[in-house]
Amino acid sequence: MTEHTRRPGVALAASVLTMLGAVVLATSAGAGTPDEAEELLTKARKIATHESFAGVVEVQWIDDAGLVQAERVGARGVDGAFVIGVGGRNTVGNDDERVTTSDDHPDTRSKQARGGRAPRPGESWDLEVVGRHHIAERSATVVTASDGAGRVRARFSIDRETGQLLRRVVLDEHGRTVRVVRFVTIIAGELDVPIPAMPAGPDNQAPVAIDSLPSGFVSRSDLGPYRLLGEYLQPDGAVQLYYSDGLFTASVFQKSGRVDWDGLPSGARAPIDGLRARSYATAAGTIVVWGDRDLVFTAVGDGPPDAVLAIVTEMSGNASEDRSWVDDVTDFVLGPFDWE
Amino acid sequence: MSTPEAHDMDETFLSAYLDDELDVPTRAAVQARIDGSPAWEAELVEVRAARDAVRALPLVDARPGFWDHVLDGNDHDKKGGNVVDLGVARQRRAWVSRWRALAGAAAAAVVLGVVLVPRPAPVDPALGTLTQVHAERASLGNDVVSNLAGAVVPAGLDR
Repeated sequence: MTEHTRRPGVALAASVLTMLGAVVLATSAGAGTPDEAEELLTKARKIATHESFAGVVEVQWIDDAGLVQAERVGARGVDGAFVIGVGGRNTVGNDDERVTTSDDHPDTRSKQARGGRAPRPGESWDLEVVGRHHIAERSATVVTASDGAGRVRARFSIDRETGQLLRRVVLDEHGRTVRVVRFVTIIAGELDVPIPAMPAGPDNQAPVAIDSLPSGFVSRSDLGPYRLLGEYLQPDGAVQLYYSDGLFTASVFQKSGRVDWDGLPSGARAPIDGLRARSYATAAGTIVVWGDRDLVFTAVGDGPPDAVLAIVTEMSGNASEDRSWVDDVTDFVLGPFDWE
Repeated sequence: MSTPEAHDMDETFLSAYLDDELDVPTRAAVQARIDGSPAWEAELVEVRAARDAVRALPLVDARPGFWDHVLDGNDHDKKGGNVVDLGVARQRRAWVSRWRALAGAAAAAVVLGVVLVPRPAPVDPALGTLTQVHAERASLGNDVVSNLAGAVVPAGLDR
């Protein structure tokens, strides 16, 4: 089930271009309306927790060194219950609960909780049905999402028969593919495949939805196109703000303290608006860590990297405008001991 | 000159007594003190001995140019000396001492500030776990495969 490869970025670009060519050739099948595109994406959100399927999913991403990484993951679902995993790490779920267990990682548990309704997929993006092609030997409709500048930032391939999302491609602001999740093989329909039972565990492992934040934490109802859908208290005392722009999602975690830069993986430096930040390109998306006003922030998002990085500015603003002389003196005195 | 009380008198009165510089009432008061105090009597003997020793020293002629040097204090570059105003020097030393004390206090305040003012605890976010938590939440009411497949891939982010 596991395959981990490392090869030049050219390979990923070539495969994407090949698929893009197929899309262009298939465009003669006729372009759809934005409403049709939105309807397809809205339906695709929930189909995997209603239909039965089994397949192999490949995740490709460009890491912080600019290299293409790829990993294959098993995924299967029967009547709303599903399991997705690789190696010793699996997420088991049903309609309203998720549990992830791992050999080398703390278990996590999430439950459907009250929260805001996700925006429409087309609320922040210009959606368009651009054609058809084949993914994992299944016929798929291709929907693109373009930003306000007309740049395509994502492509979605949706199974024409089942409505299931078969592939999602995320592009950066220059049009380069940065992350792909796609079925390599898939079987759909009536299946008799085993799905592990939901692991038992204490309820206090799950984040708790809260109506107001504990003292000292900060919230924003909007982060650019992202809309706040829920606020949660994590078992370790951290706060999670959960956002969606209709297509992509992001969480901003906060914890009291200062960033222990030496304890973090190396990642990439990402100074934003005078704030020291560090980012990570992963299979799941982009992560950004920064500190501001005795809080450590961690943003995790599956959208285009620049959109996730923009969360820092939206969340903390221009920090240099709101600094006191005490901050400046403290930084001057302690700076040599906390240098990057 | 008013007559000093016994407790106001010190050894300088003994020098003045020997040089016959005191007025009559003061001289009488010093005399009474000497007569009534063996310590003062002994002190009088010592002061007198020192005074006589200094007066017994031979006279020495000043070296050539000495008085020019003393009288022309501004020309110290040429004559290798300098007239020092002791009052000004004392004031200057006092200022230097004061500034040194202030600088020391400021340095101590900074050190104490660094050591004593509580700094927030260092936080090393568990990036892998946070990614997992986000992916789980994002998959609720959303496509589970595209949201969770990347999160189960080992990223090596948590130490």
